[in-house]
Amino acid sequence: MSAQKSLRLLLVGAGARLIGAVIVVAALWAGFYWATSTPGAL
Amino acid sequence: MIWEAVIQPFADFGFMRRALLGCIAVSLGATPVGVFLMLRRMSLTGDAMAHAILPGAAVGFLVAGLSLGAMTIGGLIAGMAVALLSGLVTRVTALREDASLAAFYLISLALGVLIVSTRGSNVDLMHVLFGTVLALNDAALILLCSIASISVLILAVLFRPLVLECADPQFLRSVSRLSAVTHFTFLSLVVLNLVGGFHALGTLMAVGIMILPAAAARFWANSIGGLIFVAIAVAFLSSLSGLLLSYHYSLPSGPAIILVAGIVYAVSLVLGPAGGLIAQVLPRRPLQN
Repeated sequence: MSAQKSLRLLLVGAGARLIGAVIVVAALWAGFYWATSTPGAL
Repeated sequence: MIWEAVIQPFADFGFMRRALLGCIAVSLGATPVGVFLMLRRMSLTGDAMAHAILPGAAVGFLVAGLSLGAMTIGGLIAGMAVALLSGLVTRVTALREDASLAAFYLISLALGVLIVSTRGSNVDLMHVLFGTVLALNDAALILLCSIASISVLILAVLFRPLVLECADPQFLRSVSRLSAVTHFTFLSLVVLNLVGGFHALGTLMAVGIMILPAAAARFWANSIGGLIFVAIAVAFLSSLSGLLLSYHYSLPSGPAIILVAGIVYAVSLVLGPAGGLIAQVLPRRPLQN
């Protein structure tokens, strides 16, 4: 059991997952812009 | 026809767009957490924690009225306190975790309702218990989107240790020091998402959008990635349908969303190819060489 093993456990495939997560988060905040700035009746 | 029924409410009314975004944020953050809760056989823990945040939110309400910040901080403190205290009781006494959690959540629920009732009206109590998804302001939306963003990013980083802890916690403990960190971070995510969901759907309904889509997804997918994908899709669909039903038929929005998720769960239970009732009854294909 070592810090290196723990780090490897975290890092395998983390790049692709993080890129996916960043895209999802960006889409969510784009949705926030759409919901709060588009004019509407109320 | 489709435009009038589905698109127009969101095109015409800002409160419907805000409600939809709030539900999408809750679905993105809370539903994957619900999948891991289900895989760890902790679904009822989520329910207990949802009730546990009530007294904290109620104290926030007592101090500052219907203030987003005060109720959020109160809920977070109460949720984390109950998670830690029930764990402590389990470790130092003969009581098992399910019983200690049940005791804490019943006390919390009673205390929370009592505190809100002493200061506020029935309308305030209904707001706390069932949320106000159709009245989300900018601050509430920023909170919901921030919680969803934090959850998605943390789940992306901790995905492998979380999967390992679901499948074989002993193995994770033996190969890495991440077990305790993973467990504590996961519990924090549960509390954080319940506090976020509480603003939109209320304490009683917040856990519904966490667990029901995860339970429905179990009948359609076998891999963890597939479960998360299907669960988020079910949560989106339930949110959209529930909001539209609420708009067209003047139904309370939170219960409408959770009931649609419940219907999807019931349909999945019967039709789902991964262990659903029909799949169990139909004869299996014989093994081929």
